[in-house]
Formats: sequence, structure tokens, C-alpha cells
Amino acid sequence: MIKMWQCNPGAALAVMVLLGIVMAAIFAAWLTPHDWNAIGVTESLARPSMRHWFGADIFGRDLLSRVIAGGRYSISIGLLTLVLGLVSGSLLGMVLGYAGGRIDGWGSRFIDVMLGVPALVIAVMVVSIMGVGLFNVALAVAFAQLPHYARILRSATLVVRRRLFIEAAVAIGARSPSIILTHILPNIAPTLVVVATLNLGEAILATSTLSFLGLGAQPPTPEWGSMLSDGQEYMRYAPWMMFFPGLAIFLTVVCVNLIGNYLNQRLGGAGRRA
Amino acid sequence: MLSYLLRSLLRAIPTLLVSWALIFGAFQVIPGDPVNLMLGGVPASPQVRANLRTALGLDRPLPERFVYFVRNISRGDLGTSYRTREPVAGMVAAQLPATLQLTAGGLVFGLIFGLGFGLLSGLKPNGVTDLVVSAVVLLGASIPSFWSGLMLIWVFSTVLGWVPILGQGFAALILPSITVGLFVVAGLARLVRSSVIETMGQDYVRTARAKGLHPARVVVHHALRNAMIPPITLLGMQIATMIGGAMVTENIFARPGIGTLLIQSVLARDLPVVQAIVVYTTAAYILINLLVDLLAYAIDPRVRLGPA
Repeated sequence: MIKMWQCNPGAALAVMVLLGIVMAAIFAAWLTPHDWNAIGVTESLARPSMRHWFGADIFGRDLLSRVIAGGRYSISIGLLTLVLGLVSGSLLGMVLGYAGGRIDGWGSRFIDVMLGVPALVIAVMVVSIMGVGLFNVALAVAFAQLPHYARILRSATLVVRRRLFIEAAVAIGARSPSIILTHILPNIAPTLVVVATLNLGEAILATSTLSFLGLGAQPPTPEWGSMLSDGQEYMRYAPWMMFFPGLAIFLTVVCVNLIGNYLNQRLGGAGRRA
Repeated sequence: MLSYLLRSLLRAIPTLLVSWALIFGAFQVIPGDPVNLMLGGVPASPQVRANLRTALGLDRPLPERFVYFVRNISRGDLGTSYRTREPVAGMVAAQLPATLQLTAGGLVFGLIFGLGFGLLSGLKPNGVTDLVVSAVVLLGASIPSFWSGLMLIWVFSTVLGWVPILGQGFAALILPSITVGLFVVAGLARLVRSSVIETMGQDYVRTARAKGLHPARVVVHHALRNAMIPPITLLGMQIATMIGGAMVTENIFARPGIGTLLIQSVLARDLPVVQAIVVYTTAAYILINLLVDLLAYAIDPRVRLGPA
């Protein structure tokens, strides 16, 4: 950590800020000054003050508490999206890269086609088919990001596949699934980590965008995207309602991207070539 | 040129068909009967339902329906909206100009600043400008477009009162264009920077300098031409992001457009409209990338001569 601070203070700061945000979200029940769903009519649209640091919304709910608690939904949905997309995408990529030949040819063609449709449009299409809701949004965005992961990890696998130890593993009779999991996976892990970090920011942005559009979190869930959408209506009277949730998303994504860039330099992965 | 054009077209057509097949397939797995969705909960006799099924062609086998689907798309017949009972084609066509305006505005903004920033930092890497530009790029890639849009409205319309929020015309297009274009600026600046740095280190640039050419001429004639290939390719992909961005931006600025129509239709489960928009966005996207390919071909002789 100290070494990291010396060579890249930006990334080190990002790690600390992100840890702070995540910790606050995890321990929200103890940290928040007020109950994040408690309604107070007299404090409707209250300005930021000592009592309500970030002000209050139309129902008089404390915004600081809601922003802290919102991290629970926004960050975990982003993570869920990442895991779903990364696991399925990297599996597909590894299988294609390892199998080669006709399977790879058709599979890659298929990935190219999937990449040919705008990701947010795919996500919206999936939500329209499966219905509105936070979990469906995660599934939809994961599905839309899947081809990106598959493509990057396919090329990483292609490089590893040509190495001698894979040939040795084949020679001693190891079966394909075990070669993929025990020999290829550890060797492309650095790429996997970099790709995951660089895409986490995008996953958080995409899921909160869908929530902002009303397709994800439903009231009264304090999700950053849907809080912003509430704030939009009262922009003229209570700009703090849209300022703080947006700032939370922004800070989180900046930190994640800074860390991703740092890891990309350190681990020298394939980076983002999507 | 002609054979290259033909080959690109031949590659684009299967891509288009497969993506349409995927979309068609995706809409077949919808839980619930389309007839129920169309009736919207209104009770109907079995006879009415059966007639509707025949009218919609739902009683035919799947492959046959896909052939009809493609035939109808290419004829511009997109079915009828569940919500308004109007032909979908007309609804989409009515919203198209607003979205095109917005996308064009965003593209102009993104091109000017993306190219400008990228060149500034790429020609003098590791300078002060480079540092500032890198910071701008990082912020641009991390800022949620719905937040930047709202903040822009708040600062420039509500507090300063410089530009109108609503309405038609050029002034009302400025803030939405910036919102849509911000992503393009970030991506483009980063790529132009690395591309320019790479090209400036090439031997032929050194030769051009050694010949005693004016530095500006070296940059414009020798370096830029080659440095532009990757950014142009990126731009084709960025347009997809902009179509997604238009959804958000239109929502924030309460502008009419394809994005607004899409969101309304998703919320109302008006599936024919959603399907039509996805189908045509995909087609537009594939077409744009085809044009980008041709542009790269026109600029770069290496593409013309095939892989060396």
C-alpha cells in the first residue's frame, strides 16, 4: 500500500475513497444519522444544514442517509452485473479460444454480431422482455456486456494456448475442461482482473442509468440512479436532491476507473480493446 | 474500390440477418401470450382470440414467421403499436429527425473537442496540457451522462439563465449535444493521443522532418493522415454509445425522439415498437460501420492493398 502510494498516489487515494464508500454502504444501518426511509413532512425539501448535511427530499427523508444506503444497491447491483457477465463471457471466450477451428470460427462470428448491437439498446430490450426490476437490469446489462468479455478473453486464451505446458498437459492425457480451468485460467487471471476492474465502472454506470430511466429500482429503494430521477423533478427548488446521488455515482466510478488504469499498467493486461 | 465495397456489403448482410434472428428469437421467449398483451386485459371470447392469432400470423411455424418478419422489415412494415394502434413505422419516422439532430450535435461537439484534446496532448506528451487532458478524459469517462446533463441544465439554465431548457432551435440543442458528446470526447481524445504519439515516432515522420519540411506540414500531411485510422474506427463504435446516450439525454431534456419513444414503449410493454426500434438501430449501426470501413479504405492505402 505504501509502495503504491509512492508510485501512484491517485490510485492509492482512489482505493481509500472506494473503501470508505463501500464500508459506509455495508455498515449503513449503524452509520446513517437518520432512518433512510423515515418520512418527515415538516422537513420536506429542507436545505443542507447541520441536521441534514445533504438536505432532504420531498418526503423529508434525510439525503445523506439515503446516499449512504444507496451504495448498497448501486454497488452490489454493479458487482452482480460484473460477476454474471464476466463468468459467462470469460467461459465462452476461453472455450472458443481453446477449442479453435470451426467452433471458434462460428462462435467468434456470433460474438461479432452481438458486438454489432448497441449495448444499452440490448439491455433495454432484455428489460422489456423480462420486465422492470433491479435484478432484471443486472441480468440485462450482464447479457449486453458478455460479448466484450468473451472477445478479450478469447484472444488472451489464444496466446496461452500455444505455450508448451498446454501441450504437455494434453500429452499426459488431461481433459479439456480441466486444462481450461487449471492451466489456462490461472495464466489469463491478470487480464481477467484488469478487464473486470475497468468494466466495473461501466457496469455501475449502465445499471444506474437504467434505474434513472425508471426500468430498475422502484421506490422507495434508495438507489443512486432512481434518486437522481426523483431529484430531476425538483431541480429548481432542491438542486441538492440531484447533486449528491450523482456525485456518489461519479466518485465511485472515478475511483474504480483509476484503480483499473493502475492495475492495467502494473499487470500489463490486454486492457480494453473492445 | 468496387470489389472492396461488394465484399464489405457481403459481410454486412449475414451480420444483419443473424442479429435480426437474435432479436426475433429474443421476442419469442417473452413470458405470456402476445394476444393477451395486445388485448391489454380486456376480456375476449376464444373466437376473437383465435382470429387475432391468425391475423398476427401466430399460428404459423417459427421459421415461416421469421421469413415474414424479414420481408416486412425490408418493406418498412413494422406492425401496429399495442398502445396507440398506429402503424409503428409512422411513429418511429416521426421521432427520427429529433434524434438525428441530437446525435449530429453530439458528434460535432465530440469531434471538435476529442480531436483537439487528443492532438494537444499527443503532440506534446507528458506536458502540462497532457496532464490536464488526461484528467478531463478520466472525468469524461466516469461521469454519468444523466448527472452531467442535469448539472448542465442547473448551472446554465436555472442559475445563469443563458440557454433555454425547452423549445426548438439551435440554442436548445447546445446542452443536449454536450451531454451526448461528452463520452465521445473522452474516448476519442485518448485514442487520438496514443495514435498521434505512435505515428510521430515513425521513421517516415523523421524523414519528413529531416527533409526540412515545415513542422505544421509534417503533422498535417504525414502524421495525421495515418494517425486518424484508429480514431475513425472508434467513432463508428461510439455512435452506438450515442444512440444509448440519446435515450438518457432525451429523457433529461424532455426532448422528443427515438430514445423517449423506446423508454415509453418499454414501460408500457408495447413490444412491436421496442422490436422495431432495436431492429432499425442495429441496421443503422451496421450501416455506419460499413461506411467507416469504406472511409478507412479511402484514407489508408494499406487497407486498399490488403494485409501486408
